[in-house]
Amino acid sequence: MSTDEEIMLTVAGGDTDAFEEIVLRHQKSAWSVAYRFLGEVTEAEDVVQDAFLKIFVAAPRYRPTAKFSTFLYRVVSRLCMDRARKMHPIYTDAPPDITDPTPSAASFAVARDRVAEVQHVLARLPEKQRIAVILRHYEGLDYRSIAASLEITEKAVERLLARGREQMRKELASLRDDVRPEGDLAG
Amino acid sequence: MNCIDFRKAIHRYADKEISKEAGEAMRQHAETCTACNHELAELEQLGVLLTTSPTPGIPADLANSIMRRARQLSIAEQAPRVLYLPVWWDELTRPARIAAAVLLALGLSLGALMGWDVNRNGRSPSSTADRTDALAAYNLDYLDDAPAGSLAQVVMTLNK
Repeated sequence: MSTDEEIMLTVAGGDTDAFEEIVLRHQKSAWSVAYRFLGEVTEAEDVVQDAFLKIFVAAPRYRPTAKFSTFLYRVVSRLCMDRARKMHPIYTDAPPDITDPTPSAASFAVARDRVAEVQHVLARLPEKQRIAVILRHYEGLDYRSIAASLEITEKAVERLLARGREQMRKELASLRDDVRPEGDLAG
Repeated sequence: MNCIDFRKAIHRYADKEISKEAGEAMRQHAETCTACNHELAELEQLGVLLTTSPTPGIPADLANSIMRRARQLSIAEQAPRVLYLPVWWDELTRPARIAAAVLLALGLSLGALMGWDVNRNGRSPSSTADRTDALAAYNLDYLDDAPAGSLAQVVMTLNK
């Protein structure tokens, strides 16, 4: 099976159909980052489309100096941040579609609440902290890959993650305090 | 290791971005310090909460939409381009192109200078007289009687 870098060189040579393999391989990651960052389906979809098209147009200039995924995360992150500056926050209480199977109505409700809670708190983080948390926790990237994707140092990644997590931890704790039943408060 | 050092390295430790030796020192400190152990547990709990949050579903037609637009771009790219420059321009080396651009700039500057000189000579008193004569030739002198501030007065002022 060809690597991403080999496929990109084929695309650079004019094979448009080969690009479909790149899209199919990476659309899930790109979508996940964009949706979690922007919190809005239409905006996230636009960003993912724009990101792949930018990569397609730039294919003739593509040089496999780093992993393709790093290149993709870089493009998606930049577009997300640009888009976030232009749009107003449109967070609603409506949860996203959950793709994993939910065996019961109760577990679905719990999962839905948790997703909404985390998404809500994540959306309140400053842009750079938010993208660092997303790349680390949802995409499983190490500090080096995050640094390469965001074009910052590893030390800066550590700082962004530390600040982002600290804020999330505080906000999630206060959210739970707000929704805790009266019996819990007494205990 | 003390608590300050532990807190400094806690994120790297939780993310397994730390050397074996430093990690071992962190583990030992966490075992003996309740406050730091609690801090670490909270951090790990947040990590679990984030990673277990399900991935939202991808829009059904996403890949097809991207490929449709990519193919459109590809077709547009293959369409014959409008040539603004002669073919020989592409064959020139970079220094030759720079030399050609400098020559063009010099030529344009020289042209502008000559044009400015001619224009300056054109504003001689005789030329003004010709224009005044033209007013007379077209019998526009009666406009002198027009009230002050009128359009006719403005025309006369401009032609004097």
